[in-house]
Amino acid sequence: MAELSEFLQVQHAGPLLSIQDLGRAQVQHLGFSESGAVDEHAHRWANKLLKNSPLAASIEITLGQSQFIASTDCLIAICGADCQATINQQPVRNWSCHILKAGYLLRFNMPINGLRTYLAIKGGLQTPVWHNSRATTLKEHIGGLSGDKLTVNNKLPIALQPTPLTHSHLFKVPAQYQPDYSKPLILRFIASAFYLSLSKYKQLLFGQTLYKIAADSNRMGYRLTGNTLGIAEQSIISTPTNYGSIQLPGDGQPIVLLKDRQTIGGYPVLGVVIKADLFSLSQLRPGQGVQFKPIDLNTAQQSFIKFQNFFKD
Amino acid sequence: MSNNSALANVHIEQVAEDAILLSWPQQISVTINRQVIATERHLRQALQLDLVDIIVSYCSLLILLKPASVGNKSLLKKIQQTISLAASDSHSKLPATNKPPIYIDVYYGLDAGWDLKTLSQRSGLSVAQITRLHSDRTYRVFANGFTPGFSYLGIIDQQLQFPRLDTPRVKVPKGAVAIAEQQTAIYPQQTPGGWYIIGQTAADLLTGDNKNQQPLLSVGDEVKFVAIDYQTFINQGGRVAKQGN
Repeated sequence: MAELSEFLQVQHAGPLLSIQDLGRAQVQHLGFSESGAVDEHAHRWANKLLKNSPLAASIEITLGQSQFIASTDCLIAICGADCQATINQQPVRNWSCHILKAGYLLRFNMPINGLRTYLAIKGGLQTPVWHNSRATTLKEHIGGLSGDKLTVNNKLPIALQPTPLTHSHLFKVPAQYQPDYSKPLILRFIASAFYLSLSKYKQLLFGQTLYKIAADSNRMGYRLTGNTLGIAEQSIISTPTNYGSIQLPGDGQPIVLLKDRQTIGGYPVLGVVIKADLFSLSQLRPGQGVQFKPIDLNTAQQSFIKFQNFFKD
Repeated sequence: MSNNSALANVHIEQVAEDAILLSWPQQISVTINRQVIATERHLRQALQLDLVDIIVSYCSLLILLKPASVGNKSLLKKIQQTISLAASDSHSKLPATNKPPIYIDVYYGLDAGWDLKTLSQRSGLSVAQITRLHSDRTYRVFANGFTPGFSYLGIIDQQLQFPRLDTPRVKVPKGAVAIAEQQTAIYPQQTPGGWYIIGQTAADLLTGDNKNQQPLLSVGDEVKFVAIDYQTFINQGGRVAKQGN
């Protein structure tokens, strides 16, 4: 890499810090995962507050407990799980922009709710681009700084910061757009032909079951545990997967596929969870409960289009 | 095949806000896979501006749309027309017949083919017969996926067809050549896996520089395995990954 410009440095790394953007969905035909921010709602808001391009990369902080300093005065935004962040021990608001002065310590604690926090910087992180994206895919060892999660002392190049930095830069997310991650979550899904072929009783049972998020849930997928639908195990010929596919393996415990999913899968699929609810799902922790509810395609598409237009540059 | 019967053969399903799944009759067949690939190529032309990507598997493909094209009612008609057009093309053998097969050298020694003995017992074939049956055929790349560089090849000789391992291995070494059911594949990197390992190769399944890695094999390619001896494998830069390591 060329000589480092200004940078953001990791002073302390929590359980999982990774660089994410909107991913590389266009190379899934080559077998690469889509990857990217699992909670696009929070990630996109962080960029929007900074008037960044929607393609700018941020740091996805899972379970907080991380610290950063910058080599120069810079403009940052913090959105997502509330880690009660501080700058030089002064509390700073979540869902807001802040000025981070050179050498000041930005600290994220364990989140009080939610799971993932996005730290964006004006102009975006300037780490290497890999198949048109800076997103890190840990299982493929690609993207980010060197295909790995961030660790202490990593220096992340940043864009040139505006000068002078003034309070006119400091936007915040209106309260009605700040989700409450502790609320029970209904996952609305677009039903598959397989779901529609099930008996009315089984469809009802699926909707009434309260599923718990299992411990081995991650960016690849969320594993759920709950009553089984009593569907005999069936092997199907491998089919392309979707962001949000609800796979039903032989043990009857559904898996909702997320951004680091494999591109092709061999389990029957009950449907695809709509994106808005996947963003919320990715903020839930193991042990929390979810339920499923079918949604009609048109409503799902309208809400998707609205979301996309809202975050257009 | 007439346009109408081509269409009747394909199930079109809007599976997500921005994704449309096309499914052909669910079987592993060269004829069907050819239609899938021909359709993919035509769709890439016809929907150029609407597309994020198209993911192809054995007998299905997934069209991923750009947000601006979501809900566009004219797309369905375009897709139907393209399926019909591709059906006539795949019957005149348009796709991927002009490319010569790609040869991949495999060391089938007992130290590299961890499951050769087991398979020999289960099939009643000798180890030599197994490796000959595996390397005699020309295979087709039906799909790319699972991990980058992993290509699903088929169809293997019926005598070699066994269900996957009951318990997948936590580590299958990079370069392992394996079989399961009707398929064979090479593991491009060390991953978990439930297929039977019958040999190892020194070939790299991902090509290109770090920034633009591409799988060596493309869907529709033809592949032939060539048995090599231990010394050749070592000369090619191979190192036998031993079981239990």
